[in-house]
Amino acid sequence: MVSTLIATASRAGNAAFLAGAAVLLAFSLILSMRRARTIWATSGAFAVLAGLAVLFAMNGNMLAAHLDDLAGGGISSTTRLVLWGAAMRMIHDAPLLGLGLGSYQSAYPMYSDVTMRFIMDRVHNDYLELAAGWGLAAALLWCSAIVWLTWICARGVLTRRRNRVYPMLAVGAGVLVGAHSIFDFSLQMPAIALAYAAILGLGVAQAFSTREL
Amino acid sequence: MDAQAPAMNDRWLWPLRLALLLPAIAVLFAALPRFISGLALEAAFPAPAYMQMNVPLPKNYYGDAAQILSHAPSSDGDTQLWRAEALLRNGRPDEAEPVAAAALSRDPASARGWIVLSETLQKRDPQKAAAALALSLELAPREYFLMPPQMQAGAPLWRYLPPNAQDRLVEDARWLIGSEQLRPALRDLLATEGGPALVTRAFAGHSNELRALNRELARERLGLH
Repeated sequence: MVSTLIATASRAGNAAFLAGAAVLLAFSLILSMRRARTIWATSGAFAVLAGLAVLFAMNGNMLAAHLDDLAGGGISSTTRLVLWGAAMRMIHDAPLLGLGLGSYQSAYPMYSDVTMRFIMDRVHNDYLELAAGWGLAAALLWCSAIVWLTWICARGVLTRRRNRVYPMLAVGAGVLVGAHSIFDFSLQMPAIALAYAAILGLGVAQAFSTREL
Repeated sequence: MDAQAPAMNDRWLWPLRLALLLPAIAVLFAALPRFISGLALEAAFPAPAYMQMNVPLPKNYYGDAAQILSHAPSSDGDTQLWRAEALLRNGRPDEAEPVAAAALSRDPASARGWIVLSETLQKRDPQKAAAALALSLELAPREYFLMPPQMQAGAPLWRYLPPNAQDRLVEDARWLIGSEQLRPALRDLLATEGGPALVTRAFAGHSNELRALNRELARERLGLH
């Protein structure tokens, strides 16, 4: 994952990775402090921060150039805002049932107000795409289900003593894909969706102690 | 009673496990046709991707792509429309027409599909062809990759098109003339029946610009660029 981040210098990828890493770091610190292992916790935090510093030293220039492009192009003219605007108009037109999941590419020309030299097949925001495809209620239910499962994992991290690394991994992965889904469509890639589903399943399965089952 | 409780649990455990598997099996069966379509599209590459971007390929590529895509499920309108377009570009409009018509009944929001149907009907039934193209223009009024084929399909059908579709084509032609990136599409349009007349309409009241464009195209033909 780190090598991909370095190679692509993706803005959303880096931000999502940082969010996921920050959550894992926060949980690690909380758990270590509970056990009065402050020295270990602090050392671990420094190790992670050092790793992140190395990551940004390697791809920082490319990432800065990407961010400059974003600023120079004017936020209102970026492609993502055009895509999101079209999705918002779709949601406005069919808020209850949506236009059908996967219909964004076909519906886009009817809702676009700008001609752009791209094939607009994804919203680059999974939340808007779900709401445009399924309608607000179904999209909300779907997202709530994922949040609920992630919440179970987070609770498991704080309450379990054994195997808490699995729910912790699931929470970190959830924050990563959740943040990335604001700007991209990683969960529409079968490999990522499958890997995330497996991690989440593993996390939920290990979020309860045997006594609770 | 307590001793019997685990036995009861065991009896329900496997049915429960199988029941939990059912949604996954249902999703798998629902996804299977799409998976087969995906394999066919992969095998037909690069024809569908190039058609989408209006990049011409040798004629035999389209024949091969149409043959491969015929293995995709007929229920997948999207893939069947690529097959219809491949048949059309392979010079087989009569075979393409029923495929496009059936695919559009599955995927009626495909603006590109209505262009394909319009082109297959152009010689045999220009009125139906014009109606199909008007629908495409309504579905996708200013789509970058659809404007060139819409204009090429619309130029020969000009007198059959409703006024709003004619206005749309003239506006698109103005946009095409102003776009450096779409210059090859302008040359293709000018080589189409009715294409020069459409470009002339787009320049109505701007004769100097029309002359400038003529000079530029003449220079290109003579290799002076």
